[in-house]
Amino acid sequence: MLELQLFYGILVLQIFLFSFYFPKLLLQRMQSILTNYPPQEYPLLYTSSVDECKIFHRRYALFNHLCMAFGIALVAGIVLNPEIMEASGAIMLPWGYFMLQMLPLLWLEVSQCSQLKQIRKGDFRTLKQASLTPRRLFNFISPLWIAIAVIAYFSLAVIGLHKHDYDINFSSDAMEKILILGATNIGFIVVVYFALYGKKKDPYMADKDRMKQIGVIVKTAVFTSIAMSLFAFATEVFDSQTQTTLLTIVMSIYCQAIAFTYLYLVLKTMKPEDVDFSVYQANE
Amino acid sequence: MQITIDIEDDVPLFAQLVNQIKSLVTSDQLSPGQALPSIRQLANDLELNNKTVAKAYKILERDAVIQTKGYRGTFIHPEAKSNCSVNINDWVNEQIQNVVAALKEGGATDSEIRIAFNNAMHISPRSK
Repeated sequence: MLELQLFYGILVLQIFLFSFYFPKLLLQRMQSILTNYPPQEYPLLYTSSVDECKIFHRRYALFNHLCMAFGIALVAGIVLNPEIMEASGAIMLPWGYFMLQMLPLLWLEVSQCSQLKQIRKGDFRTLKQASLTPRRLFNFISPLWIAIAVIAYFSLAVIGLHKHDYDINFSSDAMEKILILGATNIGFIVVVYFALYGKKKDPYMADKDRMKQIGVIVKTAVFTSIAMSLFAFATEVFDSQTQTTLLTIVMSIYCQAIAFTYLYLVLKTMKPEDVDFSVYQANE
Repeated sequence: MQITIDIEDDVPLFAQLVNQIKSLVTSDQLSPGQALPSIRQLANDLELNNKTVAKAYKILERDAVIQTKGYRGTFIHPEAKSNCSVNINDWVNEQIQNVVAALKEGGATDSEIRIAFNNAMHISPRSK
């Protein structure tokens, strides 16, 4: 029963943080940029009118409110029917809801990618500038964190194989986790590589802001990798048949940790007042 | 430390890169041992083809302005500043003028010299 109460609290926290608090901060950030750096003075930052931006903000807010309403309904449903938590798929409830909560953020990212593509198309400058300072991975994150991520993954692999007496059976849960996490880590390596050495997504962005953005991407990738390994480790250690609610709580905490890390880094590192917006003023 | 290239300039892009890096070395804005970005990083940042930057780096390495240390990266040569004053183009022009003068003295016509030069360019091995 205590576990169930704890689960309600954790799920309500998940709803509050990722369908209310952080979306509110992101929306405030977008509105602050629109107010303080309007299109008339910073035309290179925008590809749509002020009205279109405001409509976008309202839709983003509505999307998050709908997710929040769904979350509240989910909690109410579980409170009224607690036997749901005993079903075998219950552990995936926080994950499924988390995916829904991330849809508005995904929509924001896709819109931004589309906007940056249009900005790149409209960049007709003939002078191209670049920094002569090499960008290296360890400029953005301590080697210790990389070592922790590698150790966490290999520890999971060793524990998982040990539980099955080192019998490499590709159909076992442990092997599945090792392979999925391995593939995800390779994906992270690719993302980090392109962040470090790939083309500029925003052709006008100042170097120092680009460095901060790369830092956010690198840290998010590394910390998420560590969180994934720790979560998979926890699911190997706990007996899932007797402690479904506990695993469900761990799942929610894991989802929140990943999203919190990314959003905290973005909001803390890329504050509007620290960004060089002068690069978006009209070309002379 | 920024580098700027003009894609509409008559000077070839790789030559602009070479000239600017040499200029930064002679003005002490780039010091011996200082690391330079990788070819891929610089090419992507300047929105150039990798081969353009690779060509510039190759010329700078030939002129001993930079040195490549494998996976460790590319660095400014310890004697880059003095090596920047050496202009290989002057030596090339002098050699060609000497050869052309000798050929004309031997009786070769202008078109014979041009054809021979073109043939020599097509069959000459690439330098390493």
